[in-house]
Amino acid sequence: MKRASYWLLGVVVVLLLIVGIGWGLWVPSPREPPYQLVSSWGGAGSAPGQFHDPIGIAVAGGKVFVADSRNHRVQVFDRNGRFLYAIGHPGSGLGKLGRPMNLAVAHGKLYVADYWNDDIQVFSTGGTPLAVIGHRGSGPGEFKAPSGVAVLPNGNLVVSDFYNQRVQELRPDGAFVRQWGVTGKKGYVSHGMFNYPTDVATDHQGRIYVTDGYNDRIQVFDPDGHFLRMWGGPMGLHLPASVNVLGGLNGWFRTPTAIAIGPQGDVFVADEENDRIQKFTADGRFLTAFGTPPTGPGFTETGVAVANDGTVYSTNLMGNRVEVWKPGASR
Amino acid sequence: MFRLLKNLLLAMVMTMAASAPAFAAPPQTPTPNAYVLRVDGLACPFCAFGIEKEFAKQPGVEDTNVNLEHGVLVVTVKPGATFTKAQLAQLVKEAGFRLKAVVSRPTESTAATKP
Repeated sequence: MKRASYWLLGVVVVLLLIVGIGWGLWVPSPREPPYQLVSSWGGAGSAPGQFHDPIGIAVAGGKVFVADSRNHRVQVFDRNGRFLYAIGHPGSGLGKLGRPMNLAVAHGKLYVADYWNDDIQVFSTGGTPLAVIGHRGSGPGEFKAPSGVAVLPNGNLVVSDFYNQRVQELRPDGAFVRQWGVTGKKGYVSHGMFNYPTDVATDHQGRIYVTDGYNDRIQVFDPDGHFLRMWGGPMGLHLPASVNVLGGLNGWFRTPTAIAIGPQGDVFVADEENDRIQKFTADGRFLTAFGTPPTGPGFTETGVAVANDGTVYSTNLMGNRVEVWKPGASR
Repeated sequence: MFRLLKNLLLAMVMTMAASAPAFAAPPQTPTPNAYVLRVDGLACPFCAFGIEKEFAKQPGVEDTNVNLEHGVLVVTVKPGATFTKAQLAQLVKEAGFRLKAVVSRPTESTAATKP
């Protein structure tokens, strides 16, 4: 009996060591204080300034653009939350929106990934419809529920093509350049494969960041398209949602839905099912997390954007509002 | 010694369990003119919009509503419109998910014929 006890104790000690080492390696401590919620605006409805499932968000030129998805429009506010104007009308075709998702603003243009119309709508930031890029399909330059869009320094577009399980790079006119992932084929472990990519972002060096939604990880590629790194959970490995009970740990995810790059190159991820925004260095080191807890069934932090002064804007899905966050005071 | 080890293991298990999401029971009440479906893997608005998009294309479907928290899809149909379980499973599959169960169907009076 005594020998069995020592044997069992040994097993427990080894297990604790493994858990301890694993925890230190894969569950980092915050290096910054959490951001503080400083203001919010919105509410459920369809009137100007109200939302019905706000998803994507972008900030540029003193304006905040919000994809008001079930209201088929993008609403534009000043940075204090004052409603300015709405962009888009229900329907399909030039200037029409079905389910606008994640957004990008670059070079005076607003790019909207339209999940229901299977295209990218291009507007001036003032709201004039300029172009429609792509249509439904699985060929080069075609989409099946585009979920996010970003613009590279050379003007090319990068689009997360949700149901095609790929990320495409296109010229500004929509001509196909290349893709990551295999069209229509989910990948769970190896890099360069996706399991429903939800959003993309680019930094000033032309690196491409992808929220690999149901793989609960971020993948990063260099400007030449080569894989650089991935993170989220142990080594970025996919843990199926049903067993990813630890996805709420620092640096891990449960369905990341949006990604944005801050002015210092830091990476902000809307970690939707964990109701938080997580902040990382460009190489994936966890810095801090913050968000609004849900007040009932549903999830909160779904979209994220960062202004040039470091202010973070997020969409609170169940709260139907925009939230504004400032860096917390240093300890 | 055994008691100590048991408590240690119990503490580890409880720590892990505390990180797990709470699973509430989905609504079971039948809706007169709707199918209530339990679907595996529904997690985010992308899932909700994808599955709504698939059902919206079907004749006979009036409205769809996803309850993400409960993993439940409510498909409201026009009077007379019906779907078999196989049809529902196929539509859910085409949206990228798996139909776990048909929780309830429309009542007889509203579901007389197939679309």
